[in-house]
Amino acid sequence: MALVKFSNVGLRYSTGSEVLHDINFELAPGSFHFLTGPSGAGKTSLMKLLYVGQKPTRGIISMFGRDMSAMTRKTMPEIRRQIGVVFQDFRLLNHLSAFDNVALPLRISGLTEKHVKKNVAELLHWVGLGEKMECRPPTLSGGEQQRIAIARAIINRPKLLLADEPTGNIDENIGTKLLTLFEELNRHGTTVVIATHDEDIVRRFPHPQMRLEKGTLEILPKIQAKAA
Amino acid sequence: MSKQLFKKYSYDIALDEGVGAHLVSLVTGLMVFFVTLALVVNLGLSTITKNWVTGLSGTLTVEIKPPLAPAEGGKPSDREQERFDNSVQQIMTLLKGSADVSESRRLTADEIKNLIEPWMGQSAALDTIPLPALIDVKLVKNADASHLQSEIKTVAPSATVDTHTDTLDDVKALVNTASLFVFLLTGVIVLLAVVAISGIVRAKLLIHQPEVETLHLIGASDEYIAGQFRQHTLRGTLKGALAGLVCTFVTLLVISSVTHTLDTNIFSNLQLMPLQWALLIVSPLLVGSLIAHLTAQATVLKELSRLP
Repeated sequence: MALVKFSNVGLRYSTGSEVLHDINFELAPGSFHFLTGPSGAGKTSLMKLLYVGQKPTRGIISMFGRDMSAMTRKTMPEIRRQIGVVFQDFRLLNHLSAFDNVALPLRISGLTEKHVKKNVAELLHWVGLGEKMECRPPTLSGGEQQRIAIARAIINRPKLLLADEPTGNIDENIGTKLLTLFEELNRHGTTVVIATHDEDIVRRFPHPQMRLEKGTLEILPKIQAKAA
Repeated sequence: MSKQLFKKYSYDIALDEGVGAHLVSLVTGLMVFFVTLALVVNLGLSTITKNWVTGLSGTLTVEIKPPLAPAEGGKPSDREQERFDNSVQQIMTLLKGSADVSESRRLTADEIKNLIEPWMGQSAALDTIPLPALIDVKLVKNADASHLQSEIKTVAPSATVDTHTDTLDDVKALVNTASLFVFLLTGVIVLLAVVAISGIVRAKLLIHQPEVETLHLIGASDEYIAGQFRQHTLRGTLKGALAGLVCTFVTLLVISSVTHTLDTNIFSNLQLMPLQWALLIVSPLLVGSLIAHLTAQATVLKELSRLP
């Protein structure tokens, strides 16, 4: 059974023209996809639909085996908690420490502070921020903020991990480490979708592409030739 | 320990920061100040009325008109004087023997003069004008006042009996009107507070929209987000309500000392029972908190319903 299934999905903002037309695809559990396409092709809109930040204007979206149109408002948070999102602008809460930012999904899920402390500390050490747990995001570098955003996205062990332009503002070396980290998570069973316009990353990491062009989607097979 | 306490009261949304972080305290402080003041006045009026009613009900005053003098400044005839004395004597005898009366006493001439003095002044005329006989009557519990009244009329048709009903009715009507006014005023203040708190919460939602959206997207339920605003509003409300209560009691102390100096004796009558004091302190805190709680909850849930 597909983890995510889009059937004839269309999206229109207000009274404007459709930004996404007849989107059809399935994401198998444990798969890894790049979402590519030029600027303005609708990548961010498709990501919004994936992280349930937007409702489609038409079509059917099914996530984790449940028809989203049949979901009530009360059950939506439960679905969102199974999705980890690394936003392009990180969306960290600047008044909270790195620890509290990463702890948010666990506290929202109602876990005890004992569990929160253990899991968050462990993960922050894993992403190399064990010494900066009490620092607030504005005092950290862009790369460190991104690692907090990633830690927050994966702390709940999500079934689906979405990352919007994660290599946009970082150098190639860190970008490579980041993609390696996503691949490791994928090996542990997490389904990953990375929206990017970085063709080099797509070439070096051989995974299938979902290519958006003028609001329509095309699935491309993975590129076999991995860069040396 | 202090770190743990701080953690306990910190919010995922930076509600303690930014413009208007303490507006809720200000609004509820003002609300509690005016509402408590209105409550004190209302309770005080009730106490005064109760005292008056208790003092006047169960009593009546019998008045026997003075004997007529043939000319102004002259003395009444012996016959008239005898008839007057007989009427007074007969009424006193009737009252002493009545099962409805617990106590009766004829007022002395000096006591009657003291009653008339505020209207006539301390003029020498008080010694020359004929004074009526006034008898204060205290009735037993559940006495039949109308029956006693008709018996007095039978014995002395010229006697008038004042049961103080008109005075009591006037006082009660006045107090009821004042209470209604206080009730309406309280309603208006509470309504204004609800509108103000709702506006403040909406403004805070707008200021902290990015944080709210982030929480929403990472799986926070509407109830979780509303809880943050609710808790913050509640804390602000409690702080404001306590400050409002303190201000109210300081104001009452000042008014009380001023009126005491003026010898108006108004606030000396505002003696409240311990339960009334407890109600006076607890009610504004409880009502304020409840209003803030419900208003914040309703406002946030309504605004959040616009998110997908």
